[in-house]
Amino acid sequence: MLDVQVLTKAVGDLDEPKVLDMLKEFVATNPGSEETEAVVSACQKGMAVVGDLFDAKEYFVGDLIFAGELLNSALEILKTVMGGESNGKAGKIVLATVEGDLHDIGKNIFKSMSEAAGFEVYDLGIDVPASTFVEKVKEIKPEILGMSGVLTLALDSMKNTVDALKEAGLRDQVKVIIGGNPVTEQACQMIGADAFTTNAAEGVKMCQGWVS
Amino acid sequence: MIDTKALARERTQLFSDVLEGKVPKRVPIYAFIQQEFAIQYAGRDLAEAQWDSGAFEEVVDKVCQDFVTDNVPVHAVRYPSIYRMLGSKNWIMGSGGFIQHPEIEGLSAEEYDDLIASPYNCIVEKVLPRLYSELALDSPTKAFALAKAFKVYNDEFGTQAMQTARLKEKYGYADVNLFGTICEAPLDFLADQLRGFKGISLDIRRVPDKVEAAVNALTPLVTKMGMQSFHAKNTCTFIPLHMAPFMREKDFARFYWPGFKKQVEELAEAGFQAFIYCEQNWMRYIDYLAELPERTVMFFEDGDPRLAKEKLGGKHIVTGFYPQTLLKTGNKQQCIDKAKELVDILAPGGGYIFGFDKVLITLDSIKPENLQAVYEYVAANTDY
Amino acid sequence: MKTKYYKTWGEYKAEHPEIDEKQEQAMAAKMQDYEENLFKFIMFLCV
Repeated sequence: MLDVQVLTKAVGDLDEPKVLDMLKEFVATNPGSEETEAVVSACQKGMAVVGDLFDAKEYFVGDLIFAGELLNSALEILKTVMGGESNGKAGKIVLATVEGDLHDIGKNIFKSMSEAAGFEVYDLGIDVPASTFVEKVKEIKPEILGMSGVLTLALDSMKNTVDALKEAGLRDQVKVIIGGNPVTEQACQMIGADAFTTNAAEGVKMCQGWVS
Repeated sequence: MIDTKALARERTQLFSDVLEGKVPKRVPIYAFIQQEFAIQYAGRDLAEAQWDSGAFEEVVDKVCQDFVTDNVPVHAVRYPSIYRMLGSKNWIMGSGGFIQHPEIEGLSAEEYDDLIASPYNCIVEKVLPRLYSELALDSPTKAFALAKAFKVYNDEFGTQAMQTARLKEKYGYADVNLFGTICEAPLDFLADQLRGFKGISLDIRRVPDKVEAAVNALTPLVTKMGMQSFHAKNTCTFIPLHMAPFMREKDFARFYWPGFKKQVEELAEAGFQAFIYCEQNWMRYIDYLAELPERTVMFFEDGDPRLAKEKLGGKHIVTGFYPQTLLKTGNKQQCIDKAKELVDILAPGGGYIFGFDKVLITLDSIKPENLQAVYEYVAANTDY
Repeated sequence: MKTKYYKTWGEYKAEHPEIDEKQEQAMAAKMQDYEENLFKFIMFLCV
């Protein structure tokens, strides 16, 4: 029987060999969907621990990246027993790095963590113009729109995107979260986003708050 | 009529004094402005002007007229010509005309042993063809691509040097170049283009012994890269530092520091001063920095200038700390007050060059009148 | 440096024993200058 607390700790410790061994053993027992949900939840709790350690400056961005990969690997193993209903149950997120910016590491960390938290993430890539965001929101009707950027010019692109959503009459239909180096409270207000973060785990918590 | 020769001598002396650990007549001002800012400031199109070798002198001249600094204020780091000729995948012009570096892996996780056995062979045979699509083609084609790119690299930087020399003479700037030659710390070299930010973060935990061996193998190469062709006055070897703030200290102490320290020490032994850009916040590593060879020039982004002065003053030379964003969000007086604050902390006893926390790249990062005011203030109010 | 893609002047000369002292005086500095220049270029492509 998999001990979920041990799993959470192993995830929090970023102990990759231990986490993957535990999950492989678990999957081999042909578990039911309830047990599997508990295991996925334990992984998410482990990610929250990672987020806390990042806030406490014991973990750094390099460790968050590792955490994102660990999560991806964990979900790969679990998806054979996860069943369709638990995928994307939490909600839909349209996510991208904004126009003019080619950086995607933070976006990718956020994506991994959101998927682990049960979100279905539509990753539009990098250097994405406002019009593409608007098109995709119309098509997919997500609960959340996530924008990422590292350059200061990203802030202008984020504002353009939010303005484009307003023009298209879609702004009220999504929650907008922004992430990346230059995002601040001031920037968030200027852009017209609903939330901002420089900590991917914290961002996922905010998204969970919105859909619950 | 300004005596530009006398002005140049005075300014050169400021830098000579600071770099030699002496107290200068006043705090020297070194502007770190990239070509992109100058192009925008002059009202030219970014995507177009970076292809026009003559544009540099024209756009920089406008910056020289409006902002009074002690060095030629603008430099160009990357040229789209080089990267297009090679089919670059690692340096790409974004839709706004800015050349950026998307995540890429030039070296796969399975190739560590090859890198460790002969790093230069591995770079030439495996890494470059991944980073540059033209270098992955058949033998004559890739030879021709490299030939063109090598020529344009020499031509573009050569042209920049000549234009810089003309501007130096025209405005009486100092003989100084903190970006004389560029190299990277061994772990950054391994991380930036070879394994990628993501790759190295995984490798440090998954294959730590290989990462350590790779850093050891790369250290002589990046050190050689930093050796200047000849000793020139007031000319430093620039080392932008990337990975350290994203690592835990124990990983920094094992994988980052030893190779980097050795590199700076060997450069110093050969008579070359390192100009290191401590990007993000290096305050938790400040005791390490203090160990570097004396008169290393340290450029700080975030952190505590008082701590830096306390730990590094007297032995090293400090610049940076001034938040460039204030030039955008603040008014003139606030900007001047900030300059005064930093000068008061960092200037006493010498060992300080005035500069901002980042390289200025985009026009919209600042309000030009604030930048002017700050430079004017420092030039007029920092006599020792 | 353990590599086939860069030679010091000494290594180059060892492979070309036909070069006499007079020729060496004339050519060494220029030959090695470009060897160093290319090395810097290759490394520049990786940063």
